[in-house]
Amino acid sequence: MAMQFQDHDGAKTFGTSQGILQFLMRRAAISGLLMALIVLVVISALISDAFLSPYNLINVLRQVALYGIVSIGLTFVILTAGIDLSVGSIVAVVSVSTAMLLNIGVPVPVVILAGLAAGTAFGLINGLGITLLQIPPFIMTLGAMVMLRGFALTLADGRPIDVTSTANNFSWIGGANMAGMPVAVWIFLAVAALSFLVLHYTDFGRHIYAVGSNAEAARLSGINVPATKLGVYTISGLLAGLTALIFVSRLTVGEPTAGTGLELEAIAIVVIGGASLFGGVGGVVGTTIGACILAVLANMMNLVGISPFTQQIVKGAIIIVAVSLEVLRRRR
Amino acid sequence: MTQQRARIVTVIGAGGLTLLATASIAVAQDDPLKGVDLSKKCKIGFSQGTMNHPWRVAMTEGNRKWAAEHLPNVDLVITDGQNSSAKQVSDVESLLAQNIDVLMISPLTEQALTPVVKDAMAAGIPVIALDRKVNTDVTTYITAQNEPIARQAGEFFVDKLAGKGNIIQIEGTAGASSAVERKRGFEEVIATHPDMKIVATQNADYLRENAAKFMEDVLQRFGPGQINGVYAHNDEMALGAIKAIEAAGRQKEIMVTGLDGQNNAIQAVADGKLFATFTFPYVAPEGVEYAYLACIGKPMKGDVTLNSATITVDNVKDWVGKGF
Repeated sequence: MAMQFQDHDGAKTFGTSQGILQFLMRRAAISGLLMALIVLVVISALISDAFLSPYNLINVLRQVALYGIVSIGLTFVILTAGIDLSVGSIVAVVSVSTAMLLNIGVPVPVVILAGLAAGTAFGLINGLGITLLQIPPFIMTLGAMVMLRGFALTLADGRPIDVTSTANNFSWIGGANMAGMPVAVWIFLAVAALSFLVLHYTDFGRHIYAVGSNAEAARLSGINVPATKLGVYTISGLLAGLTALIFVSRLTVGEPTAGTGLELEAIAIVVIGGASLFGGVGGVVGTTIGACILAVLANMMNLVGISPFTQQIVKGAIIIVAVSLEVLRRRR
Repeated sequence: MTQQRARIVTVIGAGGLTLLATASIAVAQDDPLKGVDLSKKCKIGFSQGTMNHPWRVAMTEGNRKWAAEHLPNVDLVITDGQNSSAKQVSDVESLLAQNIDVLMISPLTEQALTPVVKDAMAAGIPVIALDRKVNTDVTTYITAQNEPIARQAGEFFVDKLAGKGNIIQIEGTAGASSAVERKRGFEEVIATHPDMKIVATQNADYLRENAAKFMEDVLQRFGPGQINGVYAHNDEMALGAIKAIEAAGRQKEIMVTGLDGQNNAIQAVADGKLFATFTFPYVAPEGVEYAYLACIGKPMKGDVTLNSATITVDNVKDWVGKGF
C-alpha cells in the first residue's frame, strides 16, 4: 500500500519545521515497519512451503481483517492518549444479540444495523463517562469491559447461541469470498481507507492528533476536546460492533466468550504499528502493517509447529522490542 | 494398552462403503489397526479445543505419544485452540493450508467449528471427531457415552449393595450435558429397585471442595448406618467426599465411587479409600488409529463408542498409572 503523505496537514497543526520533521519521522517509522514485515514474509516463505500458497495467504489476510478492524478503532482512541479496554466485551454482547435476533427471524439488514448501532451506543457510553463524568479512560473502559462481558453471559445464559436456520443469508459476511478475497478483507480495506481519509483530510482527524499531542494546547486553540474524545470512543465501539457481525457470520454462532483478549491483541497491533500510548503519534497505515506483522508471525509459527505457549512468549517479546525501537528512534 | 480395552464398535452412519475388512455392525474390536499395513505416509492434523483440563491433556498427549511409537510414517501436527473457538477455527484453517490428509478434531463448541469442518469434508479430507461433535457429518465420531457409564454405575451399586440401601449423589456442573447424562443414567437404574433410595443430591460443580462441604452436611443429616453409598459424577468430587467421610470416621460403612479414571483416583482405589471408579476414556490412541485408517482409505464411517471399565480393588493393579 503506497501512501503519499501530505505536507500541509503537519504544517497546519504544528508549525512548519516541526511539521516537516513529523512527516519525515512518520515516513521513517512506516518504512521501518514495512521492512520488518517484508523480512518476516521472506523468512516465512523460506521456512514453510505452505506459507505462500493462496489458501494460506487468504487465511492470513482474513486474520489481518478480523483484528485489523478493531485495531483501527483503537488507533483512533490511542491517538487521543486514551485507551479502550472494552472492545472485546462489546464484540461479545453484539455477537450474542445478533445471534438471538437472527434466530427470531429478524431480517438481515436490520440485524446488521442493530449490531452497528449497539456497538456505537456502547462506545458512546464509554465516551460520555470519560468526558462528562471525567472518569479516566482506563477505568471507564475497564468497568465497561467487565460489565458488558457479564451482560453478554447473562443474555446468553452462559451458552453459545447457535445460528443455524438463517445462516445462509448471513454467513456471506464472514464466510464468503468476493472476487477471490474474503468479504471481511474488503470490509477491512474499506474501513482502513475511510479512516485514513478521516484522520488526514478532515478537521476531526486533525483535532484527534492535536488532542493527543497536547490536549491543553488543543483546547486553548479552540478545539472541542470533549467532542473529539466522544467521537473516537464512539468510533471504537462502532468498529467493535462491525467485528462482532463478522465473527457471528464466520462462526455461525454468537458466543458470550467471543472477543476475550481482543483488546490486548488490538493494543499490541496499534503499538507495534508505531502509535504512542501518550497520544499524537500513529495512524491507519502503521496499524495495518502492525496487524500484518502479527498475523504473519502467528501464521508462520503455526505452520512450523511452534507450541502456542512459546508463540505467546515470542509475541510478547516482539511487542517490547518493537516499542523500545520506536522509543529509541524518537529520542534521536 | 489397546489389547486390554474392549471396544464395541457401533456403526450408526448410513451410506458409504465400509472398506475396513474386520469391521461390521456391533463387532468388538480390540485393535483397529491390527493387521493393517502401516507403511503409507500420512500427514494428520489434530486440532484440540483446549488444554485446560488433565483429561484433554491426556487425549492430546496419548495420541501424540502413541503415534510417535507405533506410526513412524505419520506426521502428526497438533494445535491448541486455547479455549477460544475463534482461535480453533483459524487453527483448522492453518492445518488445512498445510495439506493434511486427515483432520482429527476435538471441537471446543459444536456450532462454531461446524462451517470449517464442513469445508474440510467438502474438500475430501476425512474428519475424525473426538469426544465432542459438530453439527455436520464427519467421517468418524469417537466418544465415550455418559449415560451408559452412569447406568453401569447404577448396576454396580445395585450389585454391591444387594439391591438395598441409601445413596448420596454428588452432581457435576448444573446444566452441563455430562452431568445431566451421568445423573439420568444412574437414576434410571436405581428407580427400578424400590429398596434403593437416593436420599440426598446436590451439585458440586465437579469440584473437590464443594463436594467435601456437601458431604459434611449430609453426614450431619444422616447418622451412622443411614448412608450406604456415595455416587459422585467425577473423581475429584469423590475424593472430596472421602475427605469428609474420613474426618467423621465413617469410611467403613460408606462406599464411594468416582468417574473419569484419574490417576489419583486409581491410586485411591489401590489404597482402599475409594471403592471404585469408572473410566471415561480420553479417546487416545483411538483418535489417531481411526485417523490413520481414514488416511489409507479404510475409514470407519459412523460413531464409535468407547467402553468404560469399572476399576475396583480387584483389577486396580492393571490400571495404576494408566489414567490421567
